[in-house]
Amino acid sequence: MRHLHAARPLHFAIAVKRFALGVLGIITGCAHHPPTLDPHCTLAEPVARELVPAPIELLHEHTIGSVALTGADPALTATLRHVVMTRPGDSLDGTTVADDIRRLWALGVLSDVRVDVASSGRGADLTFAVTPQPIIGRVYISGASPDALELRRLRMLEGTPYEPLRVARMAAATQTALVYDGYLDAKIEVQRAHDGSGLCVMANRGSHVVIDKLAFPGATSVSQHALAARVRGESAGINHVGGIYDESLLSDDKLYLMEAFHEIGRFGTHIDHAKTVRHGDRISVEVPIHEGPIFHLGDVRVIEPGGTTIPLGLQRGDVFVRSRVAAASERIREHAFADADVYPRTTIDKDTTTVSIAFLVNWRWPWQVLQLLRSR
Amino acid sequence: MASAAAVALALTVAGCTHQAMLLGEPVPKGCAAKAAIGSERCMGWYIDRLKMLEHDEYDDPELARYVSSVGERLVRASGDHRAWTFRVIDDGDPQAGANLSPIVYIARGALARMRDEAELAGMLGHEIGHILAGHARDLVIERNRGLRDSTWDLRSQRDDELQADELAVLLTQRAGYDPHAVESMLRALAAGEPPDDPDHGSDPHPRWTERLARIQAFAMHFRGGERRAQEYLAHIENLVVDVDPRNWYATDGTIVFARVGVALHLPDGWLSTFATSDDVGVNYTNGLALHLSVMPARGKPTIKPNVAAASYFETVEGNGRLLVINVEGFGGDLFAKQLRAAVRPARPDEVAMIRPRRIDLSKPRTLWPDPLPADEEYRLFEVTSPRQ
Repeated sequence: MRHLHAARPLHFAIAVKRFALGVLGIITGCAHHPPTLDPHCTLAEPVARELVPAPIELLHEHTIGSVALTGADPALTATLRHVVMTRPGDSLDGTTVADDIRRLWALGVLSDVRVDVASSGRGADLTFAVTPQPIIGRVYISGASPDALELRRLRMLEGTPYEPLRVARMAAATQTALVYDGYLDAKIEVQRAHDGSGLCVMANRGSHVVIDKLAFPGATSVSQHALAARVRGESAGINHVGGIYDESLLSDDKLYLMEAFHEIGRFGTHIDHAKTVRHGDRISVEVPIHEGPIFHLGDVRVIEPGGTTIPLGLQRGDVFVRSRVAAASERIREHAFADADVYPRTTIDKDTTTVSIAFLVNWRWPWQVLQLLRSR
Repeated sequence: MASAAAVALALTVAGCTHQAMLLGEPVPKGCAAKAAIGSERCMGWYIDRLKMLEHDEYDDPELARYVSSVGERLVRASGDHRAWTFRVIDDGDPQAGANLSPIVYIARGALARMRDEAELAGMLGHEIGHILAGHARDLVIERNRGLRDSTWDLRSQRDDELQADELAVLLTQRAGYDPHAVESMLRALAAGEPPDDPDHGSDPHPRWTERLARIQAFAMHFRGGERRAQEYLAHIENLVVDVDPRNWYATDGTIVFARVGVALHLPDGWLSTFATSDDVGVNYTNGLALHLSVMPARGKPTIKPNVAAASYFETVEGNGRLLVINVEGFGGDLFAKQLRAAVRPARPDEVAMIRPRRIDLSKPRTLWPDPLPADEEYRLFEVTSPRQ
């Protein structure tokens, strides 16, 4: 019997998966609480390991005498047969066999596929020898309580098939969730137990880091308290003193902070990214503000086909106030002859520090049609 | 009903000096009254209340007890000690679902596809698996954090489904059922669906071939276990299948809502009726679209007009239920009022003629990948107006 070395795609796939797990399985080590490892895990086999792809050699110019599939029970064998396209009577074709292996692998249920070829009076007899994924016998958790809620997803892997990508994803998701819950130094490492009996999870949440200071240096026209009140998440304990720090949420909140300055005409205000200083389990957050000059209203007009006069409550020379512009938009919409959308289009002149506004009125169907007819 | 659920996002909370109310029910202690935030228990309660606005529970207490007993058997096998709720939903679709707290939903349409208790256990086990593994909880939290797209891609969602399938195998086996029933359960659920779509679009579920292969590969490690076909069939022998006409029944331009006890004769000008089990849609010659749906009366606070979207509502209450008249289009508010005025009590002879279709267990069951027989396909009803 001769082995057909068509395992390159398979081994490549394994290598990719194990590399991913190695990267996502993250870093060991815990400065504060070194985890006590389960004896099954002390000599843990790294999930990522070097694999050397074998070269593909093919038996050409042979007719396939038979195709067999071994290693699975009858139900699984029947399903696997559906994806094997190599048929008795065909010429032995390395591409087809390689594709078969890829398709078998893509089902995600096998940890190994080998193709054996033997010559017989009928031609080449092919045997796809498959090995289903092993079962994760135990999940050994160290560094945290086995009942910890955040480790639930990893714990539920116990007794299910070993799928390296899933393990890696859950380790990464668990770590990400801990970081978002304020455990900024959280590390989750997962390895296979050295005796193959399961998975070793080394969890280190680290300290719960909370905000001890939230400041907006550079802001003088709006109070620190008023700006802090515009940052969302207070009720959920996020991005406020005593709460946890969520960088992405705070970045989104720059819009709400900017609104406070637009409300007093400081149209050119710039808000930098938040700067943080970590000291132990405390973090200070500063959001630098660069206030701009006060802008006044320039031209204010309504572009509306009906030509109706609408009291806007806005006059040239007034300080630009965002809420008054919004109120004017609403007033136009209410006064419009028909159901309409109103868009305030602003033109900013930095030299004169003025903002001109043209309220564009778009009638909705069916009044749009009437509008078109009238414009003719 | 979907629009009602969307409106539900802008819920109003009825004031109460002692305890906040939401959708006609007291908010559990320690939970926020306005939205799905806080603990899993609070979020789960909120989601459950919204979910139960879409469908009633199926009116068969004995069947509900039976389904709960199967679910509890699985939960005990899992080692989870929380109090679980299993709801049989009055929906003809073959669906099941999981809340993020321990609440599992299974539609009567799914029960109609099963043929033994082990298959029912497989389906409940899949949903229990989602909850135990925290899939739904993580989904909600990631969405709230705006991380949904970056950390929870389609591949991850599909892997969650595969894990739930595998947990269904594990739980059924641990509970003493035949774990191979999960495979036949999946084949029964998939009946009538087209052979595998290689592209598979944005469906969060993996391809059937992959799901089945995974289950087979896992289940091959186990042997034996109960199927309990007779017990199961005895409990579903009177099961209502397909659309239940007691929710709505259209005849000669009149739609009878037997469960609300009212009827509505559609005025001239209707073009077609397009209906699912819980929503009747009608198009009118004047460009208006009408949706008629029935929901529990406690859902009334969720019914609000959306003037910007030209969507208007009128309601009629009866027997603890609410007929929701939703008209979309310019001038829809007047038309909704006109229809509201035309609603009359259903006549006894109209109600008496309405009989739901019951399951026929003598027919052979279809399993994927074979197509369903024509009369068993899930149907949408389209009735062209006789006046056209």
